[in-house]
Amino acid sequence: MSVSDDDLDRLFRAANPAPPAEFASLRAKDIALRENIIRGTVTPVRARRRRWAWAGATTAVASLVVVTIVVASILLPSQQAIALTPPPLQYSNARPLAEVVSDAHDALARPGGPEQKSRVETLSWGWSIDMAEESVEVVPQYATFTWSPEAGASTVIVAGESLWDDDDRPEGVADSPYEPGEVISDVSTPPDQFIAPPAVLELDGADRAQLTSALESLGVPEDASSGQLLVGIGQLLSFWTLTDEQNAILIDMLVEADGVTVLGETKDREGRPVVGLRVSDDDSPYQDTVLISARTGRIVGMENELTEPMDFIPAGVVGYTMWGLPNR
Amino acid sequence: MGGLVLQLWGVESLRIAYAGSDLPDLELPTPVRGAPTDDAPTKAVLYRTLFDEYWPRVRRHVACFIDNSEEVDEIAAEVFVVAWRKLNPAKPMGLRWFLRVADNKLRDVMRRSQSRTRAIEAMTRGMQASEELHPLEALALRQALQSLNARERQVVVLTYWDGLSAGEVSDVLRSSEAAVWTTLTRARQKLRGQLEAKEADA
Repeated sequence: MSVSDDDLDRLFRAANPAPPAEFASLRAKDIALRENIIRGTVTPVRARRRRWAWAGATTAVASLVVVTIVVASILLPSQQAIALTPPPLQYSNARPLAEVVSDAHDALARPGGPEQKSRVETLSWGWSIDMAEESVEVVPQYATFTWSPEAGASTVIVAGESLWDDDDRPEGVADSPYEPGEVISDVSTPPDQFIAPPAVLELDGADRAQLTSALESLGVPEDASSGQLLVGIGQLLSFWTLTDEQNAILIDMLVEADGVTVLGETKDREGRPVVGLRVSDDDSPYQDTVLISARTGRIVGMENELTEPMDFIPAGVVGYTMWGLPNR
Repeated sequence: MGGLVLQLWGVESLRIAYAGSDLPDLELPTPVRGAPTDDAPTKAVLYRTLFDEYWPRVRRHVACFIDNSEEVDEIAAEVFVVAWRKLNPAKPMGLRWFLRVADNKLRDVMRRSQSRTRAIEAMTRGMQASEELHPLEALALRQALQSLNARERQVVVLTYWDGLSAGEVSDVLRSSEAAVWTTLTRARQKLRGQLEAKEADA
């Protein structure tokens, strides 16, 4: 027997997990919130927790971004706000995707790549946002994250080079209080407080099913777009330095998801030759790009751009992360 | 067409239409006589009205995706912080604006968490205890909701639980009305398939 559309509509409506009656009236705390918003004294808890605009930022690092290097007012005119972001990378010579992937595979098949290890070194920059304070911080930093189930985790953050020389610093941007190379933060997390999905912590070897499971445990849906998948890959790479074989699988998974386009060749912000692949996620206001090393075929960077201003964040490059840099 | 009757200090009344909205008029509180006429109090009065009207709707919408009341409040608060910052008394935002911002905030949260599992758990909570649903219907619904992709889930929530028309849903999602209908039809098909399978098994 066929079920009518009316029946289907009735069932969907009956399944409402948030019935209107339960949300009908304002509570005292809602009214207090309303008045506090008007007075400008409200600080949403989640906003206080959130530090990075880029969801793929290393979780361990994210908690430390509270350390300010440069502070800029978000109320600056938009033109000036844009000047505070790094310029987008310029690409040329966009070859067919299949060629790019084939070259990456060839490079990854050469011996000499790293073993899988629970130590990750990154250079990151990103808007660090405090919505309640309406402020952004511009934070270039090197982070070394090491962990083990027995010993817990350690995160050491070292100041990178400022984005501006003293004589070309935009108005409204404070001097960095740190010298390049200065340790900003050194934090250890005991094993009982080091919490991550088991499928991530137990990842071992170049097995596609295991990588898929680890990504799913990080919130990547089965039918993920390439954009969603890249966010998950970024999170996975914040826990592990992966082998060449694992990198090859991740690149295949990315390409098999919809919407990957070749931007072309460029040099990343450390001057390494890379190929940029733009991923897509229709549901996201961000435009993400993965950078694949032209030498090793490994995933060595991600760039994150906001396509249009969101809240008080200006459009433009809002974050980047690079992996595989030499030890500092 | 819906609109907003806005009483300003020194102004008898002012009708401000929500762009493309079918929302009913909102009654604003009576203003304090003799109060200053600058933008701040006007904005505050208007904001209170919008807050009182849409805060429950936004919380309800977010609660369809998140089964944690504290987090629901936090996300809704972020939406209304943005609303206060962006509120232009000459062009107040309507429900669709609030839901769109809430969806952006939700996406932000979902990008960082186990979105699919969390959304399914939130959407299906309380279903088994519902008096309106036969246990087999509840089971079919649960399985159908599990099979929806993120966009289908959004359309189901906006259509059935937020009570928006297809045109309003298309505005929230910034997509065409045809795309909304197609997505809704797919979601219905999934539920129909589950119901018919259950019926065959029974």
